[in-house]
Amino acid sequence: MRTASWLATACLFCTATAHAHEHWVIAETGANTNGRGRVCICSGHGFPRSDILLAERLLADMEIVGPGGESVSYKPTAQEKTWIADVAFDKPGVWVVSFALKKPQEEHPVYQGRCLIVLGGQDDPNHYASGKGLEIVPGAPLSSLKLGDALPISIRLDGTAVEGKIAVTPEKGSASFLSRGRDRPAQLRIQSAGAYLLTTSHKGKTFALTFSVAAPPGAGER
Amino acid sequence: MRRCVVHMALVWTCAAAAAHGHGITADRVDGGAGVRAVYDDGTPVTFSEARLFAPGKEDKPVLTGTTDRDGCFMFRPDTNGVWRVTIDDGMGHAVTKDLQLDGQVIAHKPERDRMPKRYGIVTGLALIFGVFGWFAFLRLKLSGRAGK
Repeated sequence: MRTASWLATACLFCTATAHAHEHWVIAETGANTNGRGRVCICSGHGFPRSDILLAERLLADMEIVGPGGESVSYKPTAQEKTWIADVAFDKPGVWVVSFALKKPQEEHPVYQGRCLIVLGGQDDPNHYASGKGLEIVPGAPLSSLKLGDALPISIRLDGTAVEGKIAVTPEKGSASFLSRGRDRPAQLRIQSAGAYLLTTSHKGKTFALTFSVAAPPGAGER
Repeated sequence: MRRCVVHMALVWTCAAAAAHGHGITADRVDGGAGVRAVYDDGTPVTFSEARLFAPGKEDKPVLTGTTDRDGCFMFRPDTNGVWRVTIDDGMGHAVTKDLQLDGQVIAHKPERDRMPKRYGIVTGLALIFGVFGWFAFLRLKLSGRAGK
């Protein structure tokens, strides 16, 4: 009987996750790219791999805000299942790459995505939030995260903390959910290096945040 | 004087005819068929791309458009058979619905709310001659009085 219950629960969970797919923006910055990088707008079930090409007519508000607050828009092109743009990340600091999915007939976007990139070790959590709309905001410097750390995460609506659930999809490892109370930020336990996708929904709008946790020194060496 | 009036009438008629050549009329239509698309949680699939394929013509849509704010896409079938509607929200969700339509073909019955072109021309000419006729009549009467 107990086995049957577990099986039913597992089946239900698998069905739910199989139907859900997310959309996100992620940036690739290499060490030897002379300040150039790639921004990828993706969609699908297998983060960070994109397996759905989003409709061009929905793409909106594609912009990059640099460490000094300067904002530039980017125009991606479709490459297989991903929208890709080559952009310049030519200064150290926090770069915020964002996009939205908006139906042309509607005033507000239905989905917003953001990617936080910290270059040159010049981190500043004050640059993580815009204070507009729905957003997921990390409460500690991303560049100093190590395996085992707990990252406080809050959900904000127009700058005010709200309650909600956050779905966490790490590049390596299994997906999980975090709950964020009104006065209690969610705690994300960093269990692996690599990219993370965090999503939350509130009143029909969804926000997706991506960031990367650096591998510990010597992790790639043999 | 008479030549001038005839010329003016002709010019007026031609101008009226040419203006009618670019006109558009809109008639009210009722009925039709359609689909309503909703997500699993019941929210409508609003403003999403919709394509309609006529029976036996699955290679090219006969109508493209978007669903409305309630997730509905409507059309007027002009032949019996299976009509296929596909709706794609552009974010990885799509649905295809086949509608078997028998005896629901809608014959177009125009509901005219404006005058046909030929009647317009005749009316225009009648007005022109009427106005100029009155003008000539009054002029004759005034000149007759002045002669007395």
